Amino acid sequence: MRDKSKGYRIFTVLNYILLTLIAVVCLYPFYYVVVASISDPESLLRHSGLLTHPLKEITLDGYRMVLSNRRVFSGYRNTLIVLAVGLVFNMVLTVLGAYVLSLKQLMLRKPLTIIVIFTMYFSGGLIPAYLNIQSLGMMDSLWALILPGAISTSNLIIMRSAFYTVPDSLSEAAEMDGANHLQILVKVMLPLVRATLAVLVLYYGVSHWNAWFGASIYLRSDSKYPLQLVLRNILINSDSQDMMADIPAAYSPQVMLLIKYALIVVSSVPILCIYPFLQRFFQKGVMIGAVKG
Amino acid sequence: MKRQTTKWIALLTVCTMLTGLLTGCGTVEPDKTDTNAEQSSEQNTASEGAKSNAEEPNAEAESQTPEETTGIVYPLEGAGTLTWGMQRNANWSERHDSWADTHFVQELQKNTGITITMEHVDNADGMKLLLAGGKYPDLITFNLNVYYSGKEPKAIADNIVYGMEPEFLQENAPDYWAYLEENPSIKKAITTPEGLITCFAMVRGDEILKSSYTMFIRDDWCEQLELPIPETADEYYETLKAFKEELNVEIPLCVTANALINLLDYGILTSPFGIASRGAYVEDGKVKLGYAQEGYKDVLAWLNKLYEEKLLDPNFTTIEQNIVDSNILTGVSGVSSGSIGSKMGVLLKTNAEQDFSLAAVPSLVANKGDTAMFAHYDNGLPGTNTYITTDCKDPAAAAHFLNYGYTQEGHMLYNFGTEGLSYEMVDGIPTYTDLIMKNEEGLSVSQAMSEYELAWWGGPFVQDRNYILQYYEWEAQREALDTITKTDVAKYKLPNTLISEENQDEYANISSEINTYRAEMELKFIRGEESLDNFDQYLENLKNMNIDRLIEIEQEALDEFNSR
Repeated sequence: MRDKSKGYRIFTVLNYILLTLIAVVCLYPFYYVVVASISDPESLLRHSGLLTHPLKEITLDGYRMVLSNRRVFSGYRNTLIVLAVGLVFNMVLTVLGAYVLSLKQLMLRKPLTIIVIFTMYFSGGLIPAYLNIQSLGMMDSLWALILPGAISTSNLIIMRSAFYTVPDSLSEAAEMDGANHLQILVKVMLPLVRATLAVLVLYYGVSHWNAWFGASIYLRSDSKYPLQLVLRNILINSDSQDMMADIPAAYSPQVMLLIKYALIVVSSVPILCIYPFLQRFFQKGVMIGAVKG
Repeated sequence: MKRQTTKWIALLTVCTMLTGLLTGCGTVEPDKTDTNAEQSSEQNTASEGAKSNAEEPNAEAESQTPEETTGIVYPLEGAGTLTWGMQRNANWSERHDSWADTHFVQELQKNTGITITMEHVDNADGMKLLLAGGKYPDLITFNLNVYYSGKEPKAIADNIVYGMEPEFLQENAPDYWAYLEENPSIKKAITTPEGLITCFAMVRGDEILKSSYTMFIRDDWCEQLELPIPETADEYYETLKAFKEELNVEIPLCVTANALINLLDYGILTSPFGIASRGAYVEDGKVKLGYAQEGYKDVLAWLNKLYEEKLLDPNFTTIEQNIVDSNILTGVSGVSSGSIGSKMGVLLKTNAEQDFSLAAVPSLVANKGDTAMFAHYDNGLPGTNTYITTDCKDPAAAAHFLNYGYTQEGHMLYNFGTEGLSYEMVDGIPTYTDLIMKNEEGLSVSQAMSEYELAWWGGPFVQDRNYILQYYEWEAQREALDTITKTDVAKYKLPNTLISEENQDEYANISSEINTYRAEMELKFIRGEESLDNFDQYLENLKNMNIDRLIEIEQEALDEFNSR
């Protein structure tokens, strides 16, 4: 950087300032949530504008109430189960599917690919999906959150594109050495597309972590609810804007506000911890998937 | 150095994404609430006869109900089990897996002899899918008039709900039947064109239970300025102006766009201009649409004036409800709107220790002493009705069970819970005990209510006026009730009509196009982006979008309703 022109250096400085500002803008909401979650709820409700420091005395009541909610821990447990089991299904099925579609010698490859891609744009709709789950006997079971979305078509396409980038000669060489498809896939292909694998793990993981809708319609007992649905239910109850009937909310708005922010922190911490470690794969992997169509 | 920068960028990326996730969570629900509110404001229940109803308090009618005349004796003998589908509600779901575990349902089972198994869904979508799924619990409690296209009669035609013949009810639910006989307007509203009774209705047992949305004002400021609570549009304008000029109130009238629409839909701001409501209403037997009247121009012009003079919040289209709340609490604003219980009550409670008081503003009128045409009003049937489904093996037993809510004993249990525990009789009035009002285990009033009774929500019973009088803890809330219930709304309110099946598609098409256009234009007129000189053009455009046909369809539905 030392031998760059003066103009370039000014540009760099301005660039950093601009990016820092953007970063602050992006960070502020998160900071706000953390500060709000330990502020005095009364003053918080009264407060408007920027929030720079916790209001009045720091209180941990919000966290106490969230953690004493009997569904938060079972929610965590369920989410982790779905995440762990779901990821295994996701990755195995996506890799196998993508590998098959990436084989040039596959019979009817084009039509098969089109059929697969078709599902990305058109779905049966909510009610048929519901009826399907119902007749498969998955109602009120965590399987309903794992199996129906086991393959996300767009991720499959990303995976397939990643396989495309591996030169044919490698798999041909392996074949000459007597490797079968499983060996080629596991020993040759997968090590070469690790970055994409990491990205897909992230994609699938985040989608499991954030999912609530499926759970809200397929599950009947709240002991099986994943964390996000538990949180959502607690949050929604703070909105008592039901015009139809003046139905009372469970908590006063001050308390609700506190719980709300504490909940957001509680639910985001795990993802916040994992993201930085996967991030280095992220940039690389997404690029690989995106460039080759 | 360079490595570190990369790390920083990494961290920033993470946070950016997280922010995306967080905002994602936040935005989902408000939209949904909006649609619900929209739906509910369009939903009309019950009938024109509600007015005659008003003259004889229902509470009295109930006590006259002949008790168990045809001999349904509770607890029922040899009664079996019933499954009951219902949405989960956070008021009890934080303590129990199933509603059946609450003290109330335990008592209900003991008193009726029926064993109840609950089937809970998480939200309205879940219930809609349950209905689409083809396997139903024996009973469901749900608002089909809002959430099922074609409303209750369609649910009967689709073979979901068991349509009840009058003879069936006479025989199996005599107390309910007697109540319907005494209240023909209620009966009419839940009878299909074919003469079947659709449901065991949740009924508002008193006029004061039917209205709950109001505009409110800082009456301590009015006192300070020696102004009365405004009654006419002019007084209202002067009061806002005085707030601004003499008390330096930054935003005298602070409401969200939705709340402003509510104020128009509930006619709180439209009466002075000769229009009952922004939406559909009935005048002399004819359906009228407020937003398509000539006089609506004056309403918009008046709002435009408030907007131009910065009496109405300049950001009302984008502002969020929690900012509105905080504006009211901190004295940035002096007038807003909301439900008497969940909004006004909450604001009063939050600022209980401050110099702060609120009073309801009545629906505005043109001249002092006039009676306003309209207000928030739900015709006595909020819609959370209970249905026997076609999958119920023994509809007669189900009817025996549901009939309980309309007996004297059931009425007390559903509204107040268990005597000596959740309520005591004080001077002949059932009064909630401290178990409900000041719970020692730290339950809020609504949480405690959900443990012992059902009046806070809805079910197969008649809601009692003494519930609301106690739920409204503040004197100001009870006065507000008094204020907003003195209008002619029962005369103008469109009853729970049913658009005939062949018209439904056409109706939906025309109204969705018009609603989009109208919503856009209203805001433009109010904010002065479109000159009111173009109002005639707006009416012309509505005509071209076939608004006459829309009114015609609604008129047909009204005529059909009146001929039942």
